[in-house]
Amino acid sequence: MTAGLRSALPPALVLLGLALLMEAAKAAGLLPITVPAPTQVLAVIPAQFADLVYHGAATLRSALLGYLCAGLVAGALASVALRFHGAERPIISFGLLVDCFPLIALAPIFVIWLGQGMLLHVTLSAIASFFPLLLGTVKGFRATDASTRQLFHVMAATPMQRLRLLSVPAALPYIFQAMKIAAPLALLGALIAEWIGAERGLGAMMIYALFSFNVPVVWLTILTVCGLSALAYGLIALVESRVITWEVRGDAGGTDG
Amino acid sequence: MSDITLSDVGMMFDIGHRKITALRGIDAVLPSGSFTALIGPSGCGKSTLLRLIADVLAPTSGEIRIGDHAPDAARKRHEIGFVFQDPTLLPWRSVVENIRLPVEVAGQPAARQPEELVELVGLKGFEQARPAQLSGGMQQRVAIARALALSPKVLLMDEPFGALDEITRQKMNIELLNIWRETGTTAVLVTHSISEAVFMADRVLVLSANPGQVADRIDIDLPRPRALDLMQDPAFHAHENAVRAALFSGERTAA
Repeated sequence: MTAGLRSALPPALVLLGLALLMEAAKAAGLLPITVPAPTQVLAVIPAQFADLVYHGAATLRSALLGYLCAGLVAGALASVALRFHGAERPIISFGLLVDCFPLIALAPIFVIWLGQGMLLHVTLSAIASFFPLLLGTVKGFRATDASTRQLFHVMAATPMQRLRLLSVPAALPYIFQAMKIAAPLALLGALIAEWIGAERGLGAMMIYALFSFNVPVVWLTILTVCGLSALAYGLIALVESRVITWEVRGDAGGTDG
Repeated sequence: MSDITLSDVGMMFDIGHRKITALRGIDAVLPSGSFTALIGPSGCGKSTLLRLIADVLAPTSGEIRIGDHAPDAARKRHEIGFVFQDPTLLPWRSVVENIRLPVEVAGQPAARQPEELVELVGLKGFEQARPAQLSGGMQQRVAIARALALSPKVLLMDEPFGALDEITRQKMNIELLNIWRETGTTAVLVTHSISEAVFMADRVLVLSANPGQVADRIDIDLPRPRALDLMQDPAFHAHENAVRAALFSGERTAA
């Protein structure tokens, strides 16, 4: 825990320093009206706290569900790519195509198809986080060397045994890496969906605040999304450090949670 | 009973539009419980031959029998142990869990307790260590123990100590001979070291390259058990010279 605290100290100090600097700059009149002083943002928290929890919970739920759906579809497609080698490139191309669509332009079309309910938010969140999860899992499944695959052949392992005893454990470091990258994207996807159509969610709260030109609340919602993203990343990194207890070779290693 | 019989075995690879003959007309009988060394220049197909016996590859002509079975039947009956040049250990499993892997895959009771095999290969006290914590030599011992977990009828080894230093290698060879004597398995060792081949084997099959063929077969009638001082024996040198001559004549015809 002390080690955790020690590693959290430098970023905390940087944030504090930055906040103090902004405070000073605001006091000196150097910042535009669209950027509030940190104390102004802090000051609105008590009044906004209930709203923040109410909207934050909705965003978190949509992002989590979208993330889970994306993970399931990515895992299923990666398994197909593992089993049928020829399917790998079409599957990656499909993922890339999904990733290349500008989500912000796609969102209004999805509103027409799915309405403005949670289904929209979950779907866009899933689309936003899908590609890194797919790529990480496919790449992870490939992270076995030829001799080890021959070993499993000589042992007459069934395809299921191969998956369970070799491919999945070998892929885990890559999958965790992808999960850390995809988590903030899932939140971003939910946020975009909520901008376009939602009555509840941090995106909706942001839009209301924007239209009423309540600058501190806009920034409060932005900072909340930042905080949630960092928290999600940190949680996954924590689980990763508990699960991946072996030395990882290759390009999946060398991460600092 | 588990002789390995090779009858006119040939292997061709398709590389683009070209066909490469890796092996041609290999005939040999490796008697049950014997120790055979395969030696030859790089690219002579000795590792390919080992993989044909293990049913990792299928021969394009000829026939291989392990006892009464085709290689794929022997493999599915878990009668083949294979030791690769790399240890190929699963890094997330401990030493004892790596040794237990074939038992888990086969879903049949262990022929030898993994804990007992740990002791056999001299790794007592390291049962719970992860592969990354072991030296290269220790990792290869784990690989050998793993190959023995189901008491295979044949033990195939593809330059298992090739990456080790000379001293470790000789120690490992003596241990391997002891293990082989104790288990009574039919052993095939691919090597590029003449002294290793002569020291270990009952017979050395010398392969020549382009295409891979048996250039000569040299019986090594040196007494067992063998110890390091055997390497100073004139009879040992005579066998080494015979293998070297066979290798050299193979090179000359290929050139």
